[in-house]
Amino acid sequence: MTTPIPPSGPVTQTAPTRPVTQAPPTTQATLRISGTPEATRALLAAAARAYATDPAAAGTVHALQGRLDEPLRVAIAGRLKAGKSTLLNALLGEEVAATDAGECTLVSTWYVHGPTPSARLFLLDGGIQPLVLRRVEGRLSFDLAGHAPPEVARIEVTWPAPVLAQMTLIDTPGLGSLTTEASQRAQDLVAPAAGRVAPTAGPATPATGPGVDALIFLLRHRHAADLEVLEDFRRQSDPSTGAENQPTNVIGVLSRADEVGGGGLDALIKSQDMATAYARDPRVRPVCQRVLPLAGLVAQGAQTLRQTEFESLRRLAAMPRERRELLLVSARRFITAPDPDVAPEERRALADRLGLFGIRLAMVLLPYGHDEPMSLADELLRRSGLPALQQAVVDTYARAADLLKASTALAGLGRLLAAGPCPDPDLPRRFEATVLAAHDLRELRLVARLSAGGVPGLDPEEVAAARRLAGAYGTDPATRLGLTEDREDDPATRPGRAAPAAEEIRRAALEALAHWRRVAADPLAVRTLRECGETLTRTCEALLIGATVATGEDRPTATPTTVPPGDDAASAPSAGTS
Amino acid sequence: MKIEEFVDRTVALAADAHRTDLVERLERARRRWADPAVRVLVVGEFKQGKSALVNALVTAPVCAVDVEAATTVPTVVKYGAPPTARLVLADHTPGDVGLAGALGDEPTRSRPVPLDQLAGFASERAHPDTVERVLYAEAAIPRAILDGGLEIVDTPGVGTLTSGYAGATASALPAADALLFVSDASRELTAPELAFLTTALRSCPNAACIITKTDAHVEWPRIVEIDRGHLHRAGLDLPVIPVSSRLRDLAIRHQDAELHDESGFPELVRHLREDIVGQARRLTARTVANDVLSVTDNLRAGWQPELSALEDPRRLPDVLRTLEQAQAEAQALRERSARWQIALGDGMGDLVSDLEHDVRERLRIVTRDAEAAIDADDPATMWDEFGGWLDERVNSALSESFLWAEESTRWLAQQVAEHFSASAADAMPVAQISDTTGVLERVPAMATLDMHTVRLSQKLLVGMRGSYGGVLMFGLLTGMAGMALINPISIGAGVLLGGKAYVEDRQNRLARRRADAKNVVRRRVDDIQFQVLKVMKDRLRLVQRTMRDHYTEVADQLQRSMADSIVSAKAVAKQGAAERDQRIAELKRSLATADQLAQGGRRLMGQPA
Repeated sequence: MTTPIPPSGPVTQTAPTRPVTQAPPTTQATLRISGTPEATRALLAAAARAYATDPAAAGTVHALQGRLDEPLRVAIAGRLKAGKSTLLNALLGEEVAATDAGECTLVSTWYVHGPTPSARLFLLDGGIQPLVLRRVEGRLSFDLAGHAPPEVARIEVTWPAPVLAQMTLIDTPGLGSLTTEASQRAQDLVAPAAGRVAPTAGPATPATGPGVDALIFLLRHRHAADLEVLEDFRRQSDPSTGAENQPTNVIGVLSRADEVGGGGLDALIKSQDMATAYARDPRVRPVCQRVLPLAGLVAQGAQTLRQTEFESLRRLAAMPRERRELLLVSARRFITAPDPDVAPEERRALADRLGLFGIRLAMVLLPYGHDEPMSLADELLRRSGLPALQQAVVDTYARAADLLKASTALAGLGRLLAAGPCPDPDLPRRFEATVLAAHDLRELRLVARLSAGGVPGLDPEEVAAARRLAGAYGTDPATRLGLTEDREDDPATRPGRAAPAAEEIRRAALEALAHWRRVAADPLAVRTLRECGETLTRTCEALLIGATVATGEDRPTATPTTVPPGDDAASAPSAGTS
Repeated sequence: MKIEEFVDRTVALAADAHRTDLVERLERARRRWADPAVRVLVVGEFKQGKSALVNALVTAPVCAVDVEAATTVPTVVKYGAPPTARLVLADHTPGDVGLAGALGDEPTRSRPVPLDQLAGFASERAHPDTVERVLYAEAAIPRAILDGGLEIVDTPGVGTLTSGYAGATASALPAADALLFVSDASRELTAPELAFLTTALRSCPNAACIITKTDAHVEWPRIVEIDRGHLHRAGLDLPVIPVSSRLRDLAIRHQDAELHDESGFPELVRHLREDIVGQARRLTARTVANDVLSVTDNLRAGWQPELSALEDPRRLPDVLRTLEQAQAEAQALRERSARWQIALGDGMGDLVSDLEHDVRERLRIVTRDAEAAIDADDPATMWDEFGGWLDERVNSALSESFLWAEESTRWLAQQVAEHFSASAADAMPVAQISDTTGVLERVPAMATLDMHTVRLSQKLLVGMRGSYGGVLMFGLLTGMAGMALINPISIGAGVLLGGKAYVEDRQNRLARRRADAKNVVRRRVDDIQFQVLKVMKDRLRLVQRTMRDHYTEVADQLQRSMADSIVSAKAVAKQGAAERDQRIAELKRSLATADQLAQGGRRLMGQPA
């Protein structure tokens, strides 16, 4: 059945959707230790001037500049049928993207933020057409206005979902599909092969590199081909050359976790172990530091659980155990076998929405206190792994959006500079200086490494302190030094306490400095730990300088104390240590 | 009529005629019929449920099944009572053969293990504990399904991070009689899967596509439909069989026939019994029937002229003339200068030189790629994976070469067969050339690479050695200006030169590593090329010899039949009337039996194979 779309907002639901945790507004506190985003802007402006006579290169620079002003682009990528569209729906909090048993995403679909739902079609030849939004059973369905999928560059959907305010989410066709041009399109977007023009990224040249800034990569097993794609993406999106090997812009998702080991009740526990094992694998680690398990179907179903579905579940749970077990023996049996209490059509609907695992889980949860729709939906959602993933996306991507964009832009500029001699001989030097001085990028890597448990020799408290200090929860000095928060994990619950005095910050910074200096100087520590110490020492020094300035001028520290943009200023605070 | 009885009667007939050469040929056919081993390889990407499928088929936990750890060692499951299990171990250094060497030749060493522990040796979980290298695990269990000579081989999946297993699977393909390609119902077939299947089918065309885990996926009928479509579009019309190993286990545990039907296994078992084992049996039956036909043809060729001469002595000269002409033709076929001999000799010569060029060319490309890879990176960091990568590249290059060799040989065999009657050509023994089994067995393991890593003390020494000259040089110069030998200028120069020496040393070491690595690669490829060319030429020569022997034998038999006929026809003239009548009756009886047998043989041949 086709229904026209409601004028605004998500469709009405009986169960509440869980709002995506909001990151604190970025304007609130922006002490930038070295201001890489600003430096990148300045650098790109200089590059635009230098390449003014070379139209191809100027186009590349212009594209890179444009990217800095857009929202962060996050692609959801993975092999065919890994659950990309399901995850996208779960992240948006409603069933928007079409999902199906067969392959169904053949065109990259970009979801951008906007007040009212609408959609546009971008053709390969540069044409743009508005699309009529139609929803079939809640899902969007596009008829491509008479164009075949290979002619279409992308579909852009404007949607009023909160998460889109922080980043553009891109649903990509599956890799390794038999529809080769669709797979190729996804590959071009994530990691274009040298010499190929990636048409999906708009006016892009090979030099602009990946069309996205960050990835949520869905894995089911450790496929060699998946790791190759990730390796290509890492190489193309990281401005530093080689050695660092700590990608900050990839979150691995062990998708379809509910199907692990045949979908038994222990599937989620097993999948958690698997995800941990994947992230520890020395072959996976260099391309993807974190792997989180996700039961996408359960998450999507739980977020939009309807009253009728809850009723069906309750009746199913009320059945004698023997009879229910017989129904749940196989998927086919569950949707076809006759039973007086719950009609086969009802069961079919349940199986489509929650999957067999979700139903089994609900059967266990219902008798144990989760007998209200809200409570059941919340518990299902919690167990699906989605909240942890959302938290990781906010922590790693939303907070660091500017940095990640700058990082992609720098990588693109680096490729441009490496491709041929630059008309402005000073530009390569400035580029090098900016990359070397990018202390905030270093902090970002450190946070990623700490989150993945990649720094040995720190106790949990130290890890938490190190993450906080490196800016994982916010970059204003008080947050970094742990002076404002009661609960360090959840910035949303930050109490409205008065900002600490500059003197207090100075003292805390000095204390932290002493600690991390000791760590950095410990000759017995492993290299990663020493590097962690060095990075944090530099952070503390920058904080101290900021606090000293503030004390001198007697200003509250909540006011942004931004170091002026430009590469020379960027490297200033740490001149003494490097 | 049963095949055994059928062959026995033909043997009796040939023995009566004192044709030991024909008897021998029939005995060979009988042996072929008596040994019915049919090997079915279960292949596919990893974590698709291959091991669970094998376990469910034989209703015994012989293969390792795990949520995460993939199978690493092939497991051969065959009939045996009482049940036994053993591990077949590699005798040589690791890195050469895999499943291939194991399945083909007689294995070198094996160790019995308790059946219930066998699965523990075959997955990723096992590796750290087993120091010995396990080539494959083997379980012999008394199961009705295995009774007909069926051997099911669970293979490590392709597409894992550890590429070694996949190469082993690929090289074992030609030795298989049939394939079960496994993909699960969670998604449709992917491009890499289809690519693998297409290659696999070139080596082993008898295959079925098994869709597993249907119990966990509501939409499996759709997936089966989509997969059928994909296969059809790729021109591979394989049967697609959806199954659920879990339901089969449950059904057997609860003795639930309905559940068993739902598991899809009845269809799979039928496919194995009728389409695979049955097909293999029919194929063997056909070749046996062919042997019988050719033997009866030979016998009749001797008896028919004698009979007509006996019945009408006046036609004797005509008969003799025809016979002598036929004998002369048969004789001509036996000559070394016969046309088929020339076709075979020339064809083989061309083939060998083409093949040699092909192998060299392919290996040269591999070497070039390997050198490029070494130049692009530091061998020290990539060497661990490099050996595996190189072997995989070499393996795939060689598989292509060998496949091509097999195709060319078949073509050549056809060319030669055109010089003979149809039945003689049909009975040509099939040669397995493309089997890369054990080809690399005698290639020495890859040489280890000296990483030229240096200890801190050595680094210091290098630096010191460099700085020594600097200190001395500048110390002496500044000494002339009245300063001490050790002064800030000379120390500064020392530090600079020391640093320079150290950096140069590091670059030298890298260059040396690269040169060494390239040498190792070249030596390895050279070793492989040497060995492979030898094996390839040996095999082709063997094929040539087999073909020559086969057709010479055919020509011999033909010639002998003609000679016998001439002798007996000439004897007719001297015989008395009573003797003659007796001989006529005897011959008619023999001819009638031969006709009957030939008819039976044709019926067997006519059956769809």
